[in-house]
Amino acid sequence: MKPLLELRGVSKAFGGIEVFNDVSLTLEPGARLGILGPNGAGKSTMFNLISGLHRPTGGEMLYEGHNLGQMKPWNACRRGIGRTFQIPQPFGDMTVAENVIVGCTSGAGLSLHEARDRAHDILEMTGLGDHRDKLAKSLALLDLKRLELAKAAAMKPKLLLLDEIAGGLTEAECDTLLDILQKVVRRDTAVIWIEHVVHALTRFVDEVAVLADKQIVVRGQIDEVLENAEVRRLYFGAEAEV
Amino acid sequence: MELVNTLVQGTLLGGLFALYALGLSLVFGVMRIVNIAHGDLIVLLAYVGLTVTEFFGVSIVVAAPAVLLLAAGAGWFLQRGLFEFVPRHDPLIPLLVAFGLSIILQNLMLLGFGADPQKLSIGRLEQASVEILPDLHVGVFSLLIFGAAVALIGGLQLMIYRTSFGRALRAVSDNEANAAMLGLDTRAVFRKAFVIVMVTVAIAAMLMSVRGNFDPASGPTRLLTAFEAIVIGGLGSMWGTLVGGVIIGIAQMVGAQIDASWQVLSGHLVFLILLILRPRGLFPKNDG
Repeated sequence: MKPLLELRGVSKAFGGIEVFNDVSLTLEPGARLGILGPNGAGKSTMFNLISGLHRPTGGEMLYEGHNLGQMKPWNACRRGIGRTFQIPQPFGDMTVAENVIVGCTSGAGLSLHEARDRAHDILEMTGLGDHRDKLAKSLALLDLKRLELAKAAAMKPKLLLLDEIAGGLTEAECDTLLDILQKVVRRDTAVIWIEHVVHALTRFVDEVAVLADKQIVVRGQIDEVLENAEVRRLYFGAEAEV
Repeated sequence: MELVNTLVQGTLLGGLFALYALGLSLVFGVMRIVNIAHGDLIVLLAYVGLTVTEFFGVSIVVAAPAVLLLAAGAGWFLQRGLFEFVPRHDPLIPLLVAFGLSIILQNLMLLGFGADPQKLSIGRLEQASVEILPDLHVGVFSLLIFGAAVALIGGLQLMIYRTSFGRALRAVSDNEANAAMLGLDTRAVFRKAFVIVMVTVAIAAMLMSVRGNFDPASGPTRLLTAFEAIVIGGLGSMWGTLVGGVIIGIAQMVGAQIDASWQVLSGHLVFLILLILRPRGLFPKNDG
């Protein structure tokens, strides 16, 4: 199958500081990949690169065969790359529904009428139906995470980037979020999910990769990766939340 | 009756001040640029109006569509050709660019039009007045200016809160990177925003040029009044800006009753007093 996303030897440096060195990664359509790695390993930078916010300093990034490295963020989004943020970033002075509608009209190119319908559906699915007319800044954390997910999923992305959406949630809240994920993420949507909360990750993804020392050090089935001695040394010694 | 007259005249003058302020408020609200050149852009468009009317030998009323069109083009060009290249991570950089633009515009206008004060005329309508209460006459043109301010604010509010473009504007002004990743072409939004800003500037400029004199150096005083109206009203509140303009207008008219030289000064004094009492303005946007 033709890969959906392909990173070939991608590097990224900010000034003289290298965050990312020679990273290669391939993702098939519909694949679900979890990314583990210590803080500061460049996980969020990877998402900023894929979503077009940052330009790589080296290497090549292809999305459906298009050069992602030169793509503006809005074009990346319109081609089907959706994203959530580690720290929820709603448009605070807009209502919950408006937050979702913005992405539907500009990102998915829906008419306002279609966007309203889509927003209605996705808000029901994510359990935000009762909050639709509230200002986004008034939401509690779990609801903000739901909104992040709703905004990204409403665009029916082909590639969904989830940045630590389970972080900071209680176990029960985490279960709720997983249920929502199963509902809103269509089976043909490829997902890359950065997460420290491993037990949440294992219930959703097919594979995991570990990002450390500016590179992907290992990738494979979850059990294999968790057993990997190098991974245990790098990562779980410090901050596992298994 | 004297007092009522002063209040009414001041209120109507406040409409003009609010018109000065709208574009400035929008540029800051959406792009986070403090556009020091705003007053000079108002004066520039007054000169554009003057040039068009003289060239075609028509009244500004007839020339208005052409001026609005030229202003829209200038707005697109200003964003596309200048501000788009200005890094905005540090607010000082666009501020300095706008400051430079202000100096360039003032000197170009001096070069092109000379230092003599200019004024446009629309004939009898300028002097026409109506008696709204016994013994209380107000100028028809002053009423027109105030009406234009109310209509423009109402229109902008509708656009911002009721249209898809308005939603895009609010999203981009809230969080540019996030908006871009939700599919909003932020560059296009900024260009369109500057077009709208310059259209409001053109409306203010044409009304100003009929109401009184202007010369190449009158930009900064317009800018100052606009700033004061925005700050009194509370940043981000357009109706607040109108109230701010009205307060300065009334203060100026009351000052003028005391002594002609007190007119401008009393406006600034009232601004200072309100700044001390209500530093966030009368209608601050509640953004935590």
